[in-house]
Amino acid sequence: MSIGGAVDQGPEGFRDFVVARSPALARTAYLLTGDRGLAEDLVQEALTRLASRWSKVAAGGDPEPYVRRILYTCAVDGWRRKRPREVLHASPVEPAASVDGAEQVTQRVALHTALAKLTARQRAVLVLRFFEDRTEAQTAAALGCSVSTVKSQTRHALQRLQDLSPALAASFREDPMEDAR
Amino acid sequence: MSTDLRALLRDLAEDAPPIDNRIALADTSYAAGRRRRTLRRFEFTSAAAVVVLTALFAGLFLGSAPLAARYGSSGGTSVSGYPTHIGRQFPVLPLPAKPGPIAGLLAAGDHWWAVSPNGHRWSVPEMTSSSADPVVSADGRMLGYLRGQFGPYVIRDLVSGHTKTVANFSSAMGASGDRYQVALQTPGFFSADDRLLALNGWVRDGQAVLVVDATAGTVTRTFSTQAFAVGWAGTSVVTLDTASRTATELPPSVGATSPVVLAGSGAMTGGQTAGVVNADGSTVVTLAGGEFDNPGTLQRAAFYDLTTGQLRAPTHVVPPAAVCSYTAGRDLVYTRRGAGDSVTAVARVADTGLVSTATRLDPALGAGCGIWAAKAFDGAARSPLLLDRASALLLGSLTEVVWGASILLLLGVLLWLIRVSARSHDRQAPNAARERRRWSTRRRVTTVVVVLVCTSLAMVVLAYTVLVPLATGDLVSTQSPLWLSAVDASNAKAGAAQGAPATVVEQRPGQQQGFLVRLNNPTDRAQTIIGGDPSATVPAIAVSTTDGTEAQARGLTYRRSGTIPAHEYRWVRQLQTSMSCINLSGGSMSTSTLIVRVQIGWTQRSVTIALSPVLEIASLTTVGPGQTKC
Repeated sequence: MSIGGAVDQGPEGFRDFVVARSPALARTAYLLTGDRGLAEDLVQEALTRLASRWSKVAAGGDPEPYVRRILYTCAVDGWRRKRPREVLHASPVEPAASVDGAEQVTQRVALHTALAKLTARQRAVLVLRFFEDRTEAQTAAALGCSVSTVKSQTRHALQRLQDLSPALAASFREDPMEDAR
Repeated sequence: MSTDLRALLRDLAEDAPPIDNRIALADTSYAAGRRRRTLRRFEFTSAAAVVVLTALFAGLFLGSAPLAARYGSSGGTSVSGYPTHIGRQFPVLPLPAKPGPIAGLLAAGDHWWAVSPNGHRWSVPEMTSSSADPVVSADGRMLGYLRGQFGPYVIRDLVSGHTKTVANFSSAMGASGDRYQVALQTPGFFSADDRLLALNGWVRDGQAVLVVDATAGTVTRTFSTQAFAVGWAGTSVVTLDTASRTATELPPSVGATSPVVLAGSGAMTGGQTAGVVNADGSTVVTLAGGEFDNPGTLQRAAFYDLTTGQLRAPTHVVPPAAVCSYTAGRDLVYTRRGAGDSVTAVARVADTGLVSTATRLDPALGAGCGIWAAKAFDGAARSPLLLDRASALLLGSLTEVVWGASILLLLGVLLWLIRVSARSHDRQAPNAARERRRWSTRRRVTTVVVVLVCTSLAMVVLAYTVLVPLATGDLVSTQSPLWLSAVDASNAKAGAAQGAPATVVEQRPGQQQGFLVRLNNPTDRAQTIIGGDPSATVPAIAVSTTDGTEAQARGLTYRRSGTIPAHEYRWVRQLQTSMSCINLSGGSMSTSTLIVRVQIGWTQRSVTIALSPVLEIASLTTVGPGQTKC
């Protein structure tokens, strides 16, 4: 993908980037959408948008922040609204591997179900804050909103998760020290 | 924040779909991205083009004085030059305040067009053909007309843009309470310095010549007379009395000079006699006769010395045509009518008798009478302007283009509906979420733009390859056919055939007999004659390579096919009996039509031209030795 920090601005560079980063993007997309098919679509949409400006983005350095921002904005705004509404399954698709035990599976199912009932923006805030470990400022920048909006969305999302899944309430308690990051 | 949520999210993220074929994903995404980039550029270019065209249209065509109306304006204070051709043009905008000197005015339907020296037309909505005829000065600078039927009378300086209105004017059909009335069918005349305008009309006590001060906008003099003003000699109005065949000068001071009797009688025998004084006031030209007096007769033009009343040259015969109006500069210039009631050309006749066509008018304009600035024809002939040619080519046949566009747009809408329907079907497919393409508003707009652009291109192609040729008018014959052989021509007898007048010649077995027809291509597109009647056993059509007079027709070079350029003439020869003969005495073969195969663009068609008189070849004598050659 890159030689000495420079990114190839041609199709080879794009291919290298996709090969290297698409699994990570798919994971984020899955958390944002809650659906494997939609996650694939979201990744492809983000990559297509990246490709349409690849030479400029690659010339500017690391393209990952750009494509992740596309991922979040697509998930939050029009991308899904322009598509026919998808009805999420009550239960997630059973993973093919990693059977970690009954409790973990139960928690995973509960989290998946609860996430599916959040708004797209709330889900994006949680993914950015707790999956990618972004600060509130970085999250606000990625979503194109204010820090206070991120704070309120985070608070509402956590409250909603607690309401939806009391069994996971212990996992969702807020750590006052986190806001200082 | 609790780390438990992080762990749960990371654990949940492990359920993300595996990207098995990442290279294929990369290639697919890159190709899609490239398409979007291209589409984006296309959208941007289209949007920019739309903005630019909108701004251009707004700047050029909107507002009270659109910039585009200035196109075709001429410079200087006096017109010098006249158009060789006045054809279709799009758009025809209102006459601007300062277009410069014009070459003349042309009536069409119920309105008039102002015409530039290049043949560019402007509309003048205030001038209606149901009102009095407008007046243009000899130098093309001044324009006078009655606004509608009820006035006031308007005098416009087309160089400075100044306008004067003269109150208390109406046409003869206007309000009876007005003080002055302008005659409907007699022209007015500006003086040489453009300061005075002589109008034929009425005051309350009878017929009169009205003199208007164009600078002050007032009527300064009225002459009660039964004669008609025909122009100016210095500061005097010249009137012509056809009854007494006298020309009289009416000076500014009280009284009139002694009438000058115009010599000869041939020039002024008809009720439609009219005249005009030339630009320097030395000659009065009269034109008499014509179809109003005696349909089918020729007209007679006479050039008289205004001082002595003597003919400057012998009276000249003008080709049969109905005169609409005329103006005398160096030559007598008049407009003549073609078939029907449409003016097809502006002709000029010199005092030497030479008659020539100065300006050809597209018959499709349906133009009526013309009023011309005398000095325009003292200048050089000018070709049509580039944009006018282009607009005539692209939009001259606007009706056909719009018709074609309507069909193609309908087709485009149908394709659009089919595509939308297909999209809707795709969405209902089991794997729609993965398989369907994006169908955003932007893509819809883009598709509409693409469909419109493609439709426009297809429209232009279809219009100029099929529709316009189909809509192009036929070749016409405007004069009687000639027998090919001089022997036949000299021996031809008048008769009747097929219920119509005929010219009959005797069959000369085994010898070439035939006829010549002069065909006119009155359209804007060249038409190629590629043969005769397809059903004929021996098509024997030939087309002359050049035009010529009747006397020259037999000596021209003929080829089996030939092109008649737009607005030109060619002779067509058809051999009548070279391969057939009439064996029985008393038999005959008459021809009332000429059928030719014509190609316009990619389109071919047969055109039937009626011949008048009918041509008949008859076996008048008994069977003789010569007929054995059949």
